[in-house]
Amino acid sequence: MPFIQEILGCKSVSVVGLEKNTGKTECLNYILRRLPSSGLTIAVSSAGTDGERVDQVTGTSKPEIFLREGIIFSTSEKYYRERRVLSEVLSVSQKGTSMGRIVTAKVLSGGKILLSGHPATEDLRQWINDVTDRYGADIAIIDGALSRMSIASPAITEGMVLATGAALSASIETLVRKTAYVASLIAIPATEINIGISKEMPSRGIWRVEKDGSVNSLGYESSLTAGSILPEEVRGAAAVYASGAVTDKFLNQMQTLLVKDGIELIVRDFTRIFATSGHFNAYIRSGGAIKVLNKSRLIAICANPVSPEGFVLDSAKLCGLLEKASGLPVYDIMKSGYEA
Amino acid sequence: MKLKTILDQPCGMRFIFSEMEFASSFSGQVMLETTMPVSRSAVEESYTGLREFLTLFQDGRNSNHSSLIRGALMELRDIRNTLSALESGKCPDDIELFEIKNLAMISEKVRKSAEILDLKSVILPHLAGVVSLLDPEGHRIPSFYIYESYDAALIPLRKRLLTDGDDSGALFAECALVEARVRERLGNSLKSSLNDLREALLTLAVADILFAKVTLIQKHQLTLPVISNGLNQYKSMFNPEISAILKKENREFQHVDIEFGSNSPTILTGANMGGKSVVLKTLALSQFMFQFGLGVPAKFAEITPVEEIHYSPGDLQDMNRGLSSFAAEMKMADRLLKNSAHGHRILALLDEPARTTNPQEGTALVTSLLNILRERSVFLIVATHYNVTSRGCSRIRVRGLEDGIMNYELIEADESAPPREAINIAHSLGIDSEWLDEAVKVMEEQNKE
Repeated sequence: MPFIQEILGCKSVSVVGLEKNTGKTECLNYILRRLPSSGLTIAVSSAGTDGERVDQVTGTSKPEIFLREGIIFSTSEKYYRERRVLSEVLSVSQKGTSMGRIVTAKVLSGGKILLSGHPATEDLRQWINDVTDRYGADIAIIDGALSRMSIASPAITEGMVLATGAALSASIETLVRKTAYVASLIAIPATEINIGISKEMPSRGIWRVEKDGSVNSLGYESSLTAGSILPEEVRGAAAVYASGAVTDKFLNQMQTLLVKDGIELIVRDFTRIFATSGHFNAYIRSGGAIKVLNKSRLIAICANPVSPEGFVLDSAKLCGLLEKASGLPVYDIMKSGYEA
Repeated sequence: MKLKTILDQPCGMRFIFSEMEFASSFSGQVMLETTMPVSRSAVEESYTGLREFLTLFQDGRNSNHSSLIRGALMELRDIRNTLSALESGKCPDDIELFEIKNLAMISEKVRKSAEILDLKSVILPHLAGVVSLLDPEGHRIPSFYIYESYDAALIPLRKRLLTDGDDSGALFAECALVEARVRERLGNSLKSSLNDLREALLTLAVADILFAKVTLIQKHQLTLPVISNGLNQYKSMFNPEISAILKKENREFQHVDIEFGSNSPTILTGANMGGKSVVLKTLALSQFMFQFGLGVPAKFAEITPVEEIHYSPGDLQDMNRGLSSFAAEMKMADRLLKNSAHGHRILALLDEPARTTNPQEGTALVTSLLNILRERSVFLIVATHYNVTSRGCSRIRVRGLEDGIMNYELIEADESAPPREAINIAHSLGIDSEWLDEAVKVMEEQNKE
């Protein structure tokens, strides 16, 4: 399967689900099964504390993750005690979560475990560094939690796999539309303006970017208060950089402010865009240019045609439509038979 | 009194604690739970350890070993709960056994380096036995699982688990039974080392605290005080927190000298904005830092250990307890009077007591307080604007405005009324001159009367 090759090219990968029960864990299991078993140290953890054996919301069973020998994993104390795998404790975190501290261990003989992990995005970044530096992990994989798109930020993980499925919507059309929208956000190209200090772009406020890449503050603390930016303030600029959240309201304001002068809007990365598809598409259709500072790498989309309520969508049709709408390879990981 | 509660006092101890860099957060926890040492010998002891660590740092030859110790301390974790559980007879699980092994390994590592450095303040128990118990295969890396060498029965079981897989879970269950037996045995063997483990945990935290104290001294140019008996003397004293703020603005804190004893109370007078409150605050802070064996913010300091520190910053309003600022202040003075009557060794720093009441009664309250405390052996400084006539008190004052610039220097004062500079200072602040001119007129009329 081609996307395993792509995963091997990343030091860190997140698996993010668009909705609960879209097959995120299945997808992770699939990746872990297909990654080469020798000469590669893999580390896995989870972004959230939602690793119950039975889903508390829908009552459906949640798959444990199968880990084979040699894999390094981090999970909460509680789940470590309930593990069904022979493993060696490597470290115990200082910080605790609601499920106890985080235990990092190495699998000695394959088995199953529930993952639950660092709730804070910053801790995950630290975890990736830790397993890479201390335990020599070649690739760190994060099981994303429900609606935690932030871990897919390129600031945290290099690549991402998007899990979508019938749990998101029972109608194929809606499902495809919603998924394609997220895929289109992820696909927003990086800005071509050579911003000299892009590594340390300000983390607050709205900024004016010149053609030569220099950056000047517009004096607005956040996109929520940016309504009063005057056309004079942005005249002649190459771009406007919004460090924080991009909402519907902000996008509408930028549409009237930037589009007619051909000024591009730069956001940090796709996880900062909270605008709905309607407003986003209106912005694009009106000729607006939106770019990101750090582009995400969407490796593949995994689709799960089975919904927790029990109905099943036509897998081939679903994958076909998704591929067409997103321009990316789409896999139904419940269906085996892909070539490794 | 524990450090934890002292942090809530408005003297700036919280800032000092936040500036301490512990290798392990557990050490910070231990420090917070420390009760303030009050006896001369206890204070002396903590400085002996600190002196040893300071020399270690200044002596560059040993940097290898000291950084080795610090590196090992980074892995130190609070495993007091694990040790208590073990004591109560609970069978330890893999995580707990890992924690104990980790502690024993850190302790052994630090013990060896400490022995080479000949550190007298870090004496650790021998835990080599615990290490070999939990590392039967001699890998000497901090990781843990139930090794096959604990029980030969595990070897065939695990081999089958690896080769045949375990769809039914039966093999895994069989392994778990053997493992549980091993854990039980390990738990029982470890019980005899409980006291050593506890001692090691605490000693390692103490070593970490000493490192943090050394870096604090270097960061804020603190000094090791002389332990005195009946005298407190500071040369070139400064407030570390205010200095740090001023430094950011490229300004400098004016250091001051001050000396006071327990034989007579000291009255501190001087203009508004003359730094009286800062002096009292810094004295309270320095005394706490001294009692806890930290470097103190001065070029030279000679300090007497006390049992109690009463610091009243002047705005003691305590809404949680429903006390007005006057009531809170009175309660505090009351406690001071009672405790000093019992012969407690006390440092009392009162910032403008009774300032919220009328000047006549206020003056009377302050004068009488000084009259009573004069007879007791209390280190007492009272900052006041009142014209206190109490006899037998030392008097110091802030030098005050000189050509429009405040000179914070503390000088001896005579018994005359405190200088009236409030209106001059208000002028320098650019306050409405109509008001201030009117005030001068009113004052002139009062003087005529």
